[in-house]
Amino acid sequence: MARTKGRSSNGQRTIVFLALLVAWAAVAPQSRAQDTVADVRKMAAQALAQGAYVDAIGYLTQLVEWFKDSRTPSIIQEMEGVYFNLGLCYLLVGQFGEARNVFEEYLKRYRRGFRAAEVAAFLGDSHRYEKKWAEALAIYRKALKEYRNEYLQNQDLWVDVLVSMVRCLLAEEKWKETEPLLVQIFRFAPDFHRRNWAAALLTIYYLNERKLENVYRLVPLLLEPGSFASRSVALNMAALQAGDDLFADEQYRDALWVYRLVYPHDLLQLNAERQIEILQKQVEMLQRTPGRIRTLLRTQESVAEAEAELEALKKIPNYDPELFFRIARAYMEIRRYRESSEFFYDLYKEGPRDRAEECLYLSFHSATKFQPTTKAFARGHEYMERFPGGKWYDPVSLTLGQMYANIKDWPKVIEVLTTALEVSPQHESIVEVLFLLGYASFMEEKFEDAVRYLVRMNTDYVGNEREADGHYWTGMALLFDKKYEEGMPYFDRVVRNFPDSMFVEDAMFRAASCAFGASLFEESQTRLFAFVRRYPESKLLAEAFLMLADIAGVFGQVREAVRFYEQAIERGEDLNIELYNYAYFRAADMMKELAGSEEGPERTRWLEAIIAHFRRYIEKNREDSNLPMAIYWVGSSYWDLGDQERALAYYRRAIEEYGRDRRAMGIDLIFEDWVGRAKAAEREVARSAWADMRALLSNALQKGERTLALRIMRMLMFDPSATDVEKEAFRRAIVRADSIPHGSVGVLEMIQIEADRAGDKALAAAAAEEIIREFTETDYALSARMLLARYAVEANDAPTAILHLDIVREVYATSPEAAEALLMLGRLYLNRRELEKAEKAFKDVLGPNEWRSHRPEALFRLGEVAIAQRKFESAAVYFERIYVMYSGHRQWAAKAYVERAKCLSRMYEHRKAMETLQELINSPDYAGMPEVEEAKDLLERLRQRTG
Amino acid sequence: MKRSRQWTSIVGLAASLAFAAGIARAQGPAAPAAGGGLRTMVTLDVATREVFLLGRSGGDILYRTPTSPPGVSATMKPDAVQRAEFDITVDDNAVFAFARKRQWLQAAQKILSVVQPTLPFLDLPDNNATDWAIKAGVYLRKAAQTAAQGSPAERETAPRLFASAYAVLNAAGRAEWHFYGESARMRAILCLIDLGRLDEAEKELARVREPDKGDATYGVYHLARGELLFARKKYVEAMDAAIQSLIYETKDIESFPDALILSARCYEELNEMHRTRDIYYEVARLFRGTDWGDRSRARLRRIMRDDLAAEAEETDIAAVFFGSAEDMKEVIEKFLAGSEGVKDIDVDAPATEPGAESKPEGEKP
Repeated sequence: MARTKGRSSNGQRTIVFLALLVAWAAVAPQSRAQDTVADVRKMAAQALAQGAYVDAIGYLTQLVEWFKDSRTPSIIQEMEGVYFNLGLCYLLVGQFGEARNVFEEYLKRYRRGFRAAEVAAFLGDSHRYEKKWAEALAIYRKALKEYRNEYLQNQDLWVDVLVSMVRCLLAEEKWKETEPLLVQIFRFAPDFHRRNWAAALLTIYYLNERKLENVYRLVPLLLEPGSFASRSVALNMAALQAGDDLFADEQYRDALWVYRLVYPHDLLQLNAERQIEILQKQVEMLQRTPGRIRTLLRTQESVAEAEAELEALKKIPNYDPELFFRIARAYMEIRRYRESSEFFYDLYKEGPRDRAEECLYLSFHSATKFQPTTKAFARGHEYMERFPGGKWYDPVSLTLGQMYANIKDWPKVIEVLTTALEVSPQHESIVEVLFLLGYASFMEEKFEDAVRYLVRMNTDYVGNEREADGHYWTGMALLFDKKYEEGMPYFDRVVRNFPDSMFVEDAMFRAASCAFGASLFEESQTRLFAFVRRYPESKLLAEAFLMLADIAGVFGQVREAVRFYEQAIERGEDLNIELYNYAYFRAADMMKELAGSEEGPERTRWLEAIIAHFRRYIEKNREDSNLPMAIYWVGSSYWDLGDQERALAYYRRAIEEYGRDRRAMGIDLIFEDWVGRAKAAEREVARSAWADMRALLSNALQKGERTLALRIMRMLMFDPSATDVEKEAFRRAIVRADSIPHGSVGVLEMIQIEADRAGDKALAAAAAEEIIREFTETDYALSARMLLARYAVEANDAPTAILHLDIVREVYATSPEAAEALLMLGRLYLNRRELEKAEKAFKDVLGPNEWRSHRPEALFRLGEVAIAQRKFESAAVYFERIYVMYSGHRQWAAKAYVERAKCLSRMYEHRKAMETLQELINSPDYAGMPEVEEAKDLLERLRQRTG
Repeated sequence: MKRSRQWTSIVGLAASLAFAAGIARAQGPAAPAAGGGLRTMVTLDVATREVFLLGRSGGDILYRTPTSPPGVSATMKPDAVQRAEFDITVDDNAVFAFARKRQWLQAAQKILSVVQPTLPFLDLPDNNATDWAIKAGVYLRKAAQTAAQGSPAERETAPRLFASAYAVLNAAGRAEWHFYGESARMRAILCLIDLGRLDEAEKELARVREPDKGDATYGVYHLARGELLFARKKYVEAMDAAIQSLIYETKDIESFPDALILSARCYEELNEMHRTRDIYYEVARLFRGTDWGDRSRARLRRIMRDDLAAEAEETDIAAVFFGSAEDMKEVIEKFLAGSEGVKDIDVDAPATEPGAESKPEGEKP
């Protein structure tokens, strides 16, 4: 529709331009009587050159009058140009009838004339400008036939005729007939603009005909800057319509490709305005350039076209929001989720408010389909915050919760879904939400919460699809919460009511576990036997046998217990390493018990069984197996068999085999056990064993096995036959900087201790740092950190000290060193006047009973903190607690008396202060201590002050 | 040190321009400037006058009037100029003919043979050479890209062509007044990336204004960002930038297909081969008869031949039921076999001349 208006306006625009000249034509100058032919010719040429067409008509008409009947060949030839220019001038001034007469006269006189083909085209134009489409078309058609050869030589003109014909046909909406013409223009136009114009019109035609393949072939042309498509309302409307149809037919890929051809409303307007400006400049330029009349006319028609498009556009409502939404949707439908997510997000931010929520939801939905999931999380949260209770609130919150569950971020699952339930108590997926909350709570060891959610799920929504899962995980939560008797019925319910559930087998086993946990050993045994019978191939069989073994142990059936442990061990692959180790070592305990209860060959049989048992364990050597302990068992069993030599030899072989690996920590334990055994062995055996060890050292030194050599030297320091000189030599060989890279943890610890003792802080620190680096999570690292912290304190390097002490108190939270660390930290903070931190550290020491011995100091320091805070009353209380409750710690108690007295004195309670000091002085427990002397001095001063 | 680097860069630019000029000279005579300068109609205030531009003196324009005695020149401030019409005439039909046949180097040469002397003056407002300079730069880059994928001998010429494209686009980029001036500057940055001068490109990109949606530079800006990130192997970030470009700028032929291809490359690096395949198919189908189309078709053929996207994707049951699910494998195989539909339009350069065909009206001139 818009195109039709555009075209008629186009004609009008040209006519308006020509009409301006018509007015002048009425006053066209006539040549004067005295003017000569030469004068008139000259004036005509000048008028033409200056674009003064009205003037030119007068002069040219005069020349025609004079020479129209001339028979002189040269005149006839000259008159060809005169007729051509006269016709052209009439055309340009809008006197189409006159123009036609002159052009027809031209063609009558110069049928094969030099410009006949051009004149024929102008003749057609004269009709076209008067909207006589049929007449114009007839003339153009005739011209194409008549002047075929001429047009062959002038492709530009030929294409122009085709363009004119297309304009005539389009004026009458004869789109089909334009197609072959447009194809030819498209193929042969020598310039960008006409080719592009043809491409745009063909696109409109093909879009309307839904010949999409043809449309796609034109796409590159349509996207050229300054293309006709960039400002054609008709094309954009056709694309919009075609896109809508395709979208409705769910042909999203085609819809997307077609929609993308549509220029946004504002851009279309901008392009049209810009194009008008450019074309107007071209018109100006062409008007200054003689001889390009057809190009000028064509450009003016383009200006008119663009103006008409602009006018048409103003009447069309803005279609952008819907267009963009559909483009985004189409991207989503063809799985280009990255694109759709971004597009929808932009529409959410900048599009119409009434669709913002939907757009954010779709952006989130798209973002869930690709990695990384950062955007999905961000947009999901944004939706939940921006649209609480919104239309898609439930699916968004559930999906977000599921996504967090996928990455096992259980606290976030709980956070998101708890909020979801608060906002949307009747959540559309409430069962799933409750289940996830229950499961996440279980994983976070919030067992009561887990039970609450899961029980609610199965109570409020009976028959839900998660019912069996709910019962199972409720049981699990209760089991892990050690509420065994409460848990058992849930597992039973799974077994009884949901025989097809994937949890049946597990539930049966867990129910037995609950019975075991509840010390219902007979019931547990019965259930376990039933389980073993029903699931002979179960992965849980090993654990079942383990439990049966433990139950047998409880019942004092030691042989049975050993048999069950062995059955568990047979299926050891299904046991985790902790249970696997447990089974081995517990079985060994039982076998040793049996050996201890027997005499003679039976005892020997059990001890040999232990040896065989651990040889299998050592041979299997599963990751995280406790080999040193197993070796210890073998060695000690040989020892118990009375075979001391073999026992020590066994240890020696283990040392030889594993001693080269500085990271094999258990070997250090064996070394220590070897030393103990060797010392307790018969004299000859011991001598031989120590000699054996020296030979091993010699061999290791020869082979350059420094780790093993260092270990053996450390052992040989305990050799009763070693001289002091020899021991000193070993010590020197070990306590050296170059031993550090080779030292086992035991050797490193020795270097650390010896160097510290000798005042070689650098070496001690280097050994400690190596321990921390190589044996980070061991107890050795703890003492290393304490040493480094101490050095840091001495060097006034508080940050380093705090770093180590913080690790000690956090990682080894219940160790005695943690208490020391806290005290040291507190002292550091106190020195730095960070009183709150200091107070916290000292108070932390007061907690565990194991740290009782550190309490006096902690209390004393708390008193100091209180003094620094000028809380003398609190300080006095802390000091008093020390000598009242921890009088056994005399040093701290004595100090506490003195400090309490000082506090009381500061509070002007001199009498109480004096009583306190007197108590210290009178107590025989503190006699001779320097604090007593200080107390006497203070007392004296107080007496003087109080009179 | 700083001055020395600046000098090196000026020398480099001059060398590149000299190469571009060399190309131009090889094609045709340069604009008449020997001794006399570039004839230009300059509008200052309301007066238009004829001058001969001689060069630059700092930021000023060095010129002489037609009547100045030899050796006498004057200067004017570029911002005092309202309009400049250089005395140049580019044979636009000839340029168009080369471009249609994708003879990019010849098309660029055709333009530069005329426009090269104007390059130092493109900042003069409303001049008639900037459009051409931008076109020449774009064509040179296309020539370079084609060379980069050609025979070993052709590949050797690619860096020099990229450098020439950079020089021309950088000169056009100074036309801040022009609608596509800023875009030209960003295309120059793309040339730096093509040349592997990533740090320079990054610095340049940091200097340009970040465009808003709807700006003419939006697509090319994010394309340049994406290419830079891709070159630095930051594929997720490159993908985001490519998406910014391709979803918000679908009407710029010089950025849209490049952005699509960049996104396909990113999808490939992110191991999403189905999407890689889909986008190459899209470009091959929508940009037929172009360099983008040819490259995408070749890559698509490779993906299909090597079964890189053979794994079945999850299909929406409803779509299958209603028959709206696309079997992309089948669709693409059909496309590659060339039997995807009617071919009324041949977008490639015409193999025949008008008149060689003898068809009804219009087709038989």
